[in-house]
Amino acid sequence: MKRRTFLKGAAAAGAALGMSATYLRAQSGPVRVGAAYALSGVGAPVGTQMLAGTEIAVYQINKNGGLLGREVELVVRDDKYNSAESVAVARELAGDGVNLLLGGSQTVTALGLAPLAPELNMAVVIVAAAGMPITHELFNRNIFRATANNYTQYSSLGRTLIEQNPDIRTWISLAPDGDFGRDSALFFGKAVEKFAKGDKPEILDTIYTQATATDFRTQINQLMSSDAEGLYIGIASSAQVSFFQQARAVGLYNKFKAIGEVGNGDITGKAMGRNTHPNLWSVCHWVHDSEPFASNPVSQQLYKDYVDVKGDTSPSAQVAAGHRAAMAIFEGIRAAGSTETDAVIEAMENVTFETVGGPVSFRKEDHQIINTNYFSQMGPSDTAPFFRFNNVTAIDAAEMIEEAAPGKPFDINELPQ
Amino acid sequence: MTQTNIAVAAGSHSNISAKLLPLILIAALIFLFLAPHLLNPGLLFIVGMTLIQSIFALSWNLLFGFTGLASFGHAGFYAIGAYFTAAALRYDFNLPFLAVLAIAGILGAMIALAIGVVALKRLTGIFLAVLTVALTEALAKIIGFIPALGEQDGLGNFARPVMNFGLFTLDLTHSNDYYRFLVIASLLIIGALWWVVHSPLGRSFRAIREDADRARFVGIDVARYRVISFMISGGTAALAGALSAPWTRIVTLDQVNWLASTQPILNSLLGGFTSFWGPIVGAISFSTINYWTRSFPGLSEIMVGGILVVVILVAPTGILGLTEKLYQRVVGKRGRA
Amino acid sequence: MTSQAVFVLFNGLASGMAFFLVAAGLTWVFGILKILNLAHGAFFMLGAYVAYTVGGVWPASIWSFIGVALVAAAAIGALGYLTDQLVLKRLRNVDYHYALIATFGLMLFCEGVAKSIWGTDYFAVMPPPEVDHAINVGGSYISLYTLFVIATGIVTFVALEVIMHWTWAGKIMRAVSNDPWMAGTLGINVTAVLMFSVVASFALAGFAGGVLVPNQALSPHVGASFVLYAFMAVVIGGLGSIRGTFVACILLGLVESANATFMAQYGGIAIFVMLAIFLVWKPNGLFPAQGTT
Repeated sequence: MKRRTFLKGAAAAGAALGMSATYLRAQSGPVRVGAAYALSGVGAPVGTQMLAGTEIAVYQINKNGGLLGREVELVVRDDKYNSAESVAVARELAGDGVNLLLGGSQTVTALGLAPLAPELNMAVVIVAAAGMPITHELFNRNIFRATANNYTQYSSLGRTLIEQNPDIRTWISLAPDGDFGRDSALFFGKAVEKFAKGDKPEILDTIYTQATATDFRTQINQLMSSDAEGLYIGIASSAQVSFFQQARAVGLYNKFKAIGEVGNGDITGKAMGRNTHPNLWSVCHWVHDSEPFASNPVSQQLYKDYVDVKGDTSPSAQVAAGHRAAMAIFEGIRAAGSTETDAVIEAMENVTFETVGGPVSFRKEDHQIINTNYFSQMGPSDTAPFFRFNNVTAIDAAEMIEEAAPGKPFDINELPQ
Repeated sequence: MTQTNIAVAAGSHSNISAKLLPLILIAALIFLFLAPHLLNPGLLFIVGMTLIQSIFALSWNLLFGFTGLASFGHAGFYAIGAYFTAAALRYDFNLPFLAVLAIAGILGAMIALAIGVVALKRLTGIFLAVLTVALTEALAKIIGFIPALGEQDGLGNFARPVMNFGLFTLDLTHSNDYYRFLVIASLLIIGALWWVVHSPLGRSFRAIREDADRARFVGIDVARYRVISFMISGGTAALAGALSAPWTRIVTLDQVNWLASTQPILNSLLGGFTSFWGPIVGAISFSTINYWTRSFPGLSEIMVGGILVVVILVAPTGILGLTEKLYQRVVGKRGRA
Repeated sequence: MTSQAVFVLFNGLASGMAFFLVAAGLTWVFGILKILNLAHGAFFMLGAYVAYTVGGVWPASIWSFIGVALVAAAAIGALGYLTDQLVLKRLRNVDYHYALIATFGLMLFCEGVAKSIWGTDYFAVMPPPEVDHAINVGGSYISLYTLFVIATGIVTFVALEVIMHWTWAGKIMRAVSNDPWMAGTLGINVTAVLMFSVVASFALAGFAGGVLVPNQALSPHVGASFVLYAFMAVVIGGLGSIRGTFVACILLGLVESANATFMAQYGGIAIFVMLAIFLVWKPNGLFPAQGTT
């Protein structure tokens, strides 16, 4: 009897001590930040690179003393490029006490995650999803978009292409059937029309295909039969590589003098090598050895640390996207002096911080990042990895961004022409 | 391993089940009802998904373990229920939620009827497998053509329902409240399935699985009962999907692909397809494995594939079959028949 | 309109022959072993990766390209032998449902292994230089590689037909598939024949991988896109019938191509309609057979 009471008392005391120790540890233990990327499935090539960038950011910040005097701990999860899984992962992390999350690396996972953030009391930085709804009809104050949105990116791409290739007067697009594909082709085409000098260029009707198809010969045949000399490709990842393989075989490279693509960048370059189209433009987050990145101290440090930590000398552009998102959260924590969700959110609305591409900040009304958007031109090369970036141009996002309209769907026709 | 052994294992009520089953069930019920207080929201979410996957697996096993038909495209029914419910909630169909669920289930059953009447008379086994896969792929493509269903991005951005019963309302907007509804709904469905399996209808199904020709000689209308089984299975799978939509609050095409169709197969085989409770045991086991390995990304394909192969080769009757064999060896009461 | 029709014809034949290269091994295995190997697409994918590893991204000539494909065939044939010993042999006398499920697990496993070995980057292998040009046929642009694929498919079909019907080896295989017990009584080493058939069918998958690797981007999922078509062709053509599979593949290729050209916004749906029609009209396939024909 006595022993039992003693044991019970000891257990109770132990529990009380344990709980207060947990509380104390939470205040002085590591700063835990969640990272949910696509690490398996079709999104893996991009997700693993973004994770690398985030990991380097954590490495850098811990090397310099951590945040608020505490070490930063990254809690990594695989969202399997699947919105249901990204929801499950966010809930699991929230249940585990993590309230700061880098997630929604691609639109499909972001759309599931965004409505959830307020319910879970999390501050979520959407790493690379460009779909318009995130800062429009799906917006809530808990989410921040750390990349340019669809409209900004693809209008800027269109503008870049027509400014760099002013002699091309007929353009056509090949896009995946779906909101994102249709929109990106539309934004591209309108920008080409708007920023052309001289006579208005002709934008032919977009040709559609399935994003997950592997055979594009029919669409390629239609492209070859058109009058266009400039092309926008809205399909990504392995589909884009298949497209180039099949297109090259029928002489598409000779017909289309300039091609803009949705954002594969070095993924296509590495795969196609010497068979990369000589005038292929893409959305570019980072090219470490081209200006302006080469002279940017953040870029130099990122490259150096990437080589040290990963042992690889050719980081993908996506590394910078993961790095930038992590820095946003870290700056928010630093400016807020705390890891509480509301404090970090308020801080992130007001910070400006340096990234590989220069200073960036978030727009207060819709938490859309305002940065400089870069576009790279690549072509084949005779030395490994057999492709190279020849040129990087920049457009300030502020010039190509739409009005903030949180809660309202975006309609290009409502813009001043 | 032959058909007869399976028959014996399935037909007999084992000693284990009789003694432990009520205890396990009661413990499980207590746990399920207390879960919102015991677990954090993340774990609660996983418990809810496991319940839904259990129903999905049970629906598949009704067809395989109890009627002898393997469907490799069961995710199609699940998707029908999920997308219908998501659309009803998103576009304000103005139907009471129970009606939405009922319609989802009926939709699944009707489509199963259409497929069953045409296909099951002539096709079994491999043909049925290929047909079910092809139909699910076709469904995925069709959903991909419909902008209102979100195409590649999926259908989301809808709230959990508020159920108005005239005298009182049941607000299921918060996850804990919907969780309790989910538990009750799941228990009702599982109970209904248990009743079907142990009814004369269920015995007819089992007779057909044993030997379709003999069943025919005994007077059972094999084709008709196969279709009925397919309907119940399809309707239940659609119900599982319907219940899942407000839980995850987003429905995407990932729920209509190969991998989604293998989940109930995996769960049923892992747990033991010869027992009614097998699929549930399998769903719980798989969720647990998934949770333990969550910090080792990229292993999912190797893991799922490896488990399937190992289970088939080593323990085709799954966890419950293994425990059954172990129990009999320990107790030593009877040798193998 | 005619230029479109010409394009649909060539493109459809090319797709069909690509499906056939994958489906031939599948139907052969079924005819002899009565197992539908869902992992067939995964072995095709591994053959493609082996061809990439051995042959690199630019084949030196058409002969080295074919040579590399044969090396891939040998490698995957060996892998097939291993798989047979470890997994498939135990599935021979059990309910076919187990075989379906086990081979499905095997497919997932192989995809995961490919990802671990070769990573998640995509690779693009080019066609051999002799066929790396395009020709203009009636206004449509057709690459010579496409014609090469058509030719390879036809040659493979003819070779299989010759082996099956004109050689003693083929007669023995057909005997074993028709009635293994009887064949055993007559003194045929049934086990050896079965093993040889398994290895040959996997080798065929590996060969298909090597030949088709320039057709699209190389990733662990490349098998999945072919395997569904292969299954549909095998089922429509008649399980175990190589002739049936050949005809079914041509039909599928033409239908898919016509769908993409004339009803582009509903791409990919016509073949499923076709499958449904065939399953209802001719549930045992175009050439219902016992064993391999």
